[in-house]
Amino acid sequence: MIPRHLKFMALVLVVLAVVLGYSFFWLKHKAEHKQTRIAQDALPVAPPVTGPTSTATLYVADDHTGLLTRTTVTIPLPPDSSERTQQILRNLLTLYQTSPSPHAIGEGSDVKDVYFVKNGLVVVDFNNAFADKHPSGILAEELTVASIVATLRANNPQIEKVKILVEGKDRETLAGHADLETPLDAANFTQVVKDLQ
Amino acid sequence: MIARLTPRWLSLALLCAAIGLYFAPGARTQAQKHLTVYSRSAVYSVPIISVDGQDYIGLSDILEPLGAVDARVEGKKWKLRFTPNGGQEITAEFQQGKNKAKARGHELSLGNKFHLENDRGYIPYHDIGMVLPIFEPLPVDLHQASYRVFLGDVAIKFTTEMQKGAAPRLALNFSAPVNPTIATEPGHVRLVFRRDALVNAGPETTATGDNLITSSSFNDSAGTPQITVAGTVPLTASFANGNRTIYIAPVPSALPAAESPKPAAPPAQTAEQSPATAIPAPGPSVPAGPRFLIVIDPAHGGDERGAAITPSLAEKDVNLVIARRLQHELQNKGIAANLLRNADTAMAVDDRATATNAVHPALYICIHSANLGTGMRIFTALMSPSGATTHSFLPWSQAQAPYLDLSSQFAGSISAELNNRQVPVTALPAPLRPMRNIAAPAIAVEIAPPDETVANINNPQYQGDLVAAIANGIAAMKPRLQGVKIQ
Repeated sequence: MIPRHLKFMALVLVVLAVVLGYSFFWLKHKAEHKQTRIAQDALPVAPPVTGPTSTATLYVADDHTGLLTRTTVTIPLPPDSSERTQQILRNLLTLYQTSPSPHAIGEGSDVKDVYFVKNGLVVVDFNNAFADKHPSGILAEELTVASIVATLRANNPQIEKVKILVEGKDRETLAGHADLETPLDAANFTQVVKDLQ
Repeated sequence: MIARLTPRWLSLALLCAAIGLYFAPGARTQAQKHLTVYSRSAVYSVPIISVDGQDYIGLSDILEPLGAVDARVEGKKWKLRFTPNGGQEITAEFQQGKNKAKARGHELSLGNKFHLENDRGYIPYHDIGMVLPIFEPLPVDLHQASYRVFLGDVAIKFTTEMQKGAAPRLALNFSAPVNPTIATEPGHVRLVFRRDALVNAGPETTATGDNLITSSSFNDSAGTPQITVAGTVPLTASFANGNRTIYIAPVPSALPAAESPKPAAPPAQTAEQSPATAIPAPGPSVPAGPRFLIVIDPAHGGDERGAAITPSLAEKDVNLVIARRLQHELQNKGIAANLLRNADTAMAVDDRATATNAVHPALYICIHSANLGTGMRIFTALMSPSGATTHSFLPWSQAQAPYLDLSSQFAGSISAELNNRQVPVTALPAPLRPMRNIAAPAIAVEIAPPDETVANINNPQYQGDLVAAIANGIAAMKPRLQGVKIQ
């Protein structure tokens, strides 16, 4: 015969276990939801794009294989070439910042402006997060740079050189390795892209 | 009044500034002393710095080639975790300006205050004999005066034996193969053992009792062991017994006429030299003809940490360890190799290029490491081969252009070696500085961990395999470069 007070204690413990278990799952769910919201907040905020959709080519880097993959996306693109290029690059950066990411870049990376200068030179201005938070390493940085240059060239074959700025200023390297001081020669990257495919 | 006082005040200010600069930490004159560490896995040297007139040595500098080092600064405390190869983690805690420390749960009392500089911990040099055994399971034998430390049973002993007769010779018998540099000078032969853990068990100077070869003496006071054999006639050295024996004998022409026809016992290799010339010991790839110098650049350094391999392991430190290993490996192959930095110091990319171009190396190799992927990547400069020749002035940013083909050949040779060892390798051009400013063949290597465990990048066995492959790849290029003319 089990004493009455022991039965009561067992009942209390069971109720306590159920309450604690529910609380744990509720808190975990809340934390995951908050994490997702933070990640979404960090994504570049693209201006609303309206108009007909077009096909754009992206060269997507993959950290696992160390390679670039050519892919096409159908997205609404503005008619102005600078805005159009900016939108394509934003798609690429958004892809890298959406879980599961094929290639790690800095959280909150964004393209601020794209300027087409004469003689096939295009100047792309990124925000600080793009460079300051980028993982450091030759291959890690080269994959990012090659992916950007190849994407630009694939969507606009007139591009011959790409100059990368960060917040409108020159920067020596992306994250300690890839040289950003000299404009990147798109033709030279053609071979790199072939090697990386 | 002000005008009259200004020069006096100016002089006083300048004097104060000079005194201030003299005593400033950055202005300390760093003695060019090094501690040579001999272990089974590596022979390396660690710089000794001077702090308030006392010799100090970086504890992580000593430990890095021996296992995985994880050090971090918390306020004034320097916390160290060290995992020897195949051993268990050992923790220690030191504090800036304090003599007391903790290691393996025990209290330590240093002879002088612990010193923290650029997040690196330095202990008084004289305390190595006490501190190192805590981290190193093998017996530690510190030769304090000669700045040499032996970890485990690595010391090479030698005996001398004078063989008299018609063709007298002095036999130096070593307990393990040796590879000294030999210099013959009037009146003596000097053998310098830069990489061999040579110790002397006998008297410093031994008289042979012979008229032609009079004495031999051992000296390691400058940190590098040397044996000097004195004679009354020109002497020559030869190797035998798989480099375990070196014979010192009079050059045949110096022997009395009646005795000269008798040849000495067949030496493995003869190191006969004209007076006052230095030669490296014979080996598989002894430099011959034009100088074949390799410049090794451990990337980053000082405040520039490079990639964070792990939260506590900086790329700059891994690069330096690997660079030192590569230098040792190349020197073992008889290939001269210089390090652009041999301590945790910062160096601008332009300075790296200038220093390299000044010595006209056969190859510039920049060492990087990363936590992305596995295996190794080899990079050449990403640029268009220009029509410029080495005989014309080149733009600074195009200095590499005439050498791109040779750089690619070096990359290919190293890739082939790595493929033979089944190490994943990728060769690519990359937009990297200072490679485009190097007026010589130039490559960069990026070493990644061997597997998913990033900390394994510090595995000495893995690093040893990679540097052996790199050194073999470089050595294989040497004959191909003979007579190559760059346009």
